[in-house]
Amino acid sequence: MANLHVALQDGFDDDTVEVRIDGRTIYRRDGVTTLTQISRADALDVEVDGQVNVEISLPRRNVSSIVTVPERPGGVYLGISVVRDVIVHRLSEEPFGYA
Amino acid sequence: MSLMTGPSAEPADRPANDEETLQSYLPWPPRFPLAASGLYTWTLLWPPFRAPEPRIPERIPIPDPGPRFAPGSNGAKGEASERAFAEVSDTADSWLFPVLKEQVRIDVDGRYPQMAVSGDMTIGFRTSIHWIANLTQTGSGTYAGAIWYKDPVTASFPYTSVVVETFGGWFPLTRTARITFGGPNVQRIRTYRYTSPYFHDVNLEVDCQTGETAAMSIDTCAHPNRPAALPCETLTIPQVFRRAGFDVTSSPGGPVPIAGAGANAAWSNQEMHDAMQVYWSRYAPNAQWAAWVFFASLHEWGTSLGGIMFDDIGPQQRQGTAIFNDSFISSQPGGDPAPAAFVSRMLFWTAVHETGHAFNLAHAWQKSLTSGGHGPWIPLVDEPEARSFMNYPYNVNGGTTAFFSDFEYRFSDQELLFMRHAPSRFVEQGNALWFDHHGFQAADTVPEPALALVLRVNRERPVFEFLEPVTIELKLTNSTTRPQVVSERVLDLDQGITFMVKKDGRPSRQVVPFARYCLETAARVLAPGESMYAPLLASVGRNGWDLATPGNYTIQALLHLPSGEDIVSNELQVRVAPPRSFDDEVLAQDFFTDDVGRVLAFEGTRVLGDATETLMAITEKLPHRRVAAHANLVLGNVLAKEYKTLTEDVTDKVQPLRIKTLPASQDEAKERLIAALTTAPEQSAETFGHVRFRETVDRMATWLAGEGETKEAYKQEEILLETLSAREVHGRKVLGSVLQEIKETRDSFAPRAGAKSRAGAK
Repeated sequence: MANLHVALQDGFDDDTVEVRIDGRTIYRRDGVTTLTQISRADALDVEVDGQVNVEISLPRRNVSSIVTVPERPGGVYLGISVVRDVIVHRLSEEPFGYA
Repeated sequence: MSLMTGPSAEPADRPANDEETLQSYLPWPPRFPLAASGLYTWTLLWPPFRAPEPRIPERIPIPDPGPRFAPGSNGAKGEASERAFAEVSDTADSWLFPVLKEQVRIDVDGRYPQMAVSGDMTIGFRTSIHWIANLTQTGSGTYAGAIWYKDPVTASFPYTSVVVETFGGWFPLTRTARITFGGPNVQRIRTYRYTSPYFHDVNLEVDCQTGETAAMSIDTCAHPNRPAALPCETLTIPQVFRRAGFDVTSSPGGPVPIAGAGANAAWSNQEMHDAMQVYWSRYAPNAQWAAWVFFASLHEWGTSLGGIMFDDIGPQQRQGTAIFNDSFISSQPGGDPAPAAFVSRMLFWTAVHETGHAFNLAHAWQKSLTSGGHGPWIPLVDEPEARSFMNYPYNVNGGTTAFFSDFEYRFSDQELLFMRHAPSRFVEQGNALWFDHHGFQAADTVPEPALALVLRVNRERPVFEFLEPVTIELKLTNSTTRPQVVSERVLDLDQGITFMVKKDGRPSRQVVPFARYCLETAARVLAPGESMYAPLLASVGRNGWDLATPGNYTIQALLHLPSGEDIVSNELQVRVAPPRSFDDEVLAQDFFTDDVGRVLAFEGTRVLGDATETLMAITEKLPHRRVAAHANLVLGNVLAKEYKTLTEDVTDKVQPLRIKTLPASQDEAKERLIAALTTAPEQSAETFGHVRFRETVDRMATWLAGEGETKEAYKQEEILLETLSAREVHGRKVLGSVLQEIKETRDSFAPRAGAKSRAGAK
């Protein structure tokens, strides 16, 4: 098992956000809004086993995206942003820093 | 110069200097060539100093400023340089009030010149016009360019170009700048006196949590990974902002006890905001060029947060920032050749970065972002690779190594343009809300719009009684020589109009209509010079009562056309007077409610009982006040005809909902409508505005005629005609064509021989 950190970062504006891992909903929240001065809206940590498919949905905007997250023993950091109604992501093996 | 293209154009061997300013003005020996950039001022009470020639010598080569203005195309440059100091008088400017003060910020040389000039003009005691122009050097000490930004866009400032001529010698008092404003058939010349090499003063007060230190300076050459041409110096935070155009003074504070962070010894945003109010010596509930910088150990979110501009609470925002010394920014990267220097650099970067947010700077990759209705002040380009304090070093391609190899401890050109030349309220701490005007979303205006939008009130002084609903008149005029086609409903609040109300000292609020109508609308052709008008209830909308409490307000509207062009109105200043009596204050508690707002907006109700009772109380307790006219109007409207309501019969399980028709009450309706409109017609014309006054009297007369009371209808139209014929506001009378229409309407109700009236009619 390894830690998967999912960070909701830029572009969230009073959105309903759902996060599913391999089809299982692990996060659903309304009113998710980015604090623009640090480019971070919310974050969650979940223990995963091996490679997983992470689906992020914004039902109000009718957009979703699936990211395949590889297995990393030291943990993986997945940053999710919304740019002009398109969900973009970035993967890192280092924690995200905000300022 | 864009940071996305490479290193600075500054000479590589320029000496470092701890006392460096935007420019030097020491007379002898000169350490730097003279520069023209800086703040220049003109005031009504102190006429400008008229300095003799020669001009300031040319300085080092000027970078490419971008879009260019063709010198001489406005015809002003050659003439102005030959002429003596010929000033255009303020009366020639056609402002109602004199111009009291003007400031211009010339930005053509010195550190990171933006080849721009901006100005502020204070007219009377309240109105301010802000403008910005790009500049190209056209001669020794002479620059010219097009004005591309105006706030507000107003007929009072019709100029579209400037020519800037700088004069003077070594001594600051001898320096002046003469600006010739050009435009279609207009010209204006003003001479300004040099005031400062900086555009604004700002104070930074620094406090530290007990046991923490403040990273206020950096040895720029301590880490080997840096641009080869980077000057070696001990760079301070105040110096960074001085190079951006701000005369920063930093005042040391004192220790802030960790107890303020609570039992977990980690700070929340609210705790820091509380600490700011206690420990910041300049804390005050108003905008000021000052910010509090707090060095603490850790935020409650943990080590992932290196710093934050935490002050996004309340009406005065962006006054406090914090840096967390024990967060990730203090982590020494493995394998780094100078880990301690790396950390010092990250701490310094974070401190400037957070302070930059206090100047309303967004992150480099967010420049075009709109969030929560707030967006950039002008269309901006995202700069994800910018080597700017406002970027995250670890987010660029190649990470911190690539970033710092190319970083010159500066802001980007877009950021400098904003900080130096945007309207100061967008930048000043405590003024525009965070991200609002990184800005207030910029209007897509054109230099010479085809349509002009004016907001006005039909009274000599724009003062409204307490409780009096504020009705604004919108006037849209075709200002071209060709017909313009617009929608018939173009001025309706639920169509393309955005209407903003701002009370002094409070954030702007948008008046949102209670309802939006989906209607098939006809097109209307406005002939050259023709206008169309519409009344608008400005006091209340779905967002609540934003124009209610006593005080001064600024109102402005933006009309968004289907073509994508925005037409921005003038800023209309109005005042709401204080309550006159105890009754006012008691009634206000029930009057300023959502229900009453809806009733006024929809002009009546027979189901919102509490609102109806409040309005009836208004008419009984304040019968001669203007609010009573509004109350009588809406109370009378719904009694004039049958009224359908939806009721529920809970005993009927099959079809519980029923439509119930309430009968009209013509006598009471007539009494209230006449009380609202024509018992005190002068007052009614003023409180409803001429357009709405006419519309409602016409409607009442048509109703009376339909009830068989044509004689009464004629009488009401006669009162309307007499009242509007006598009205004159600021020397402006009601249009003759309108009076003629009213006359024709009146005559259509003229009693005919043999006509019968309704039985029992009064």
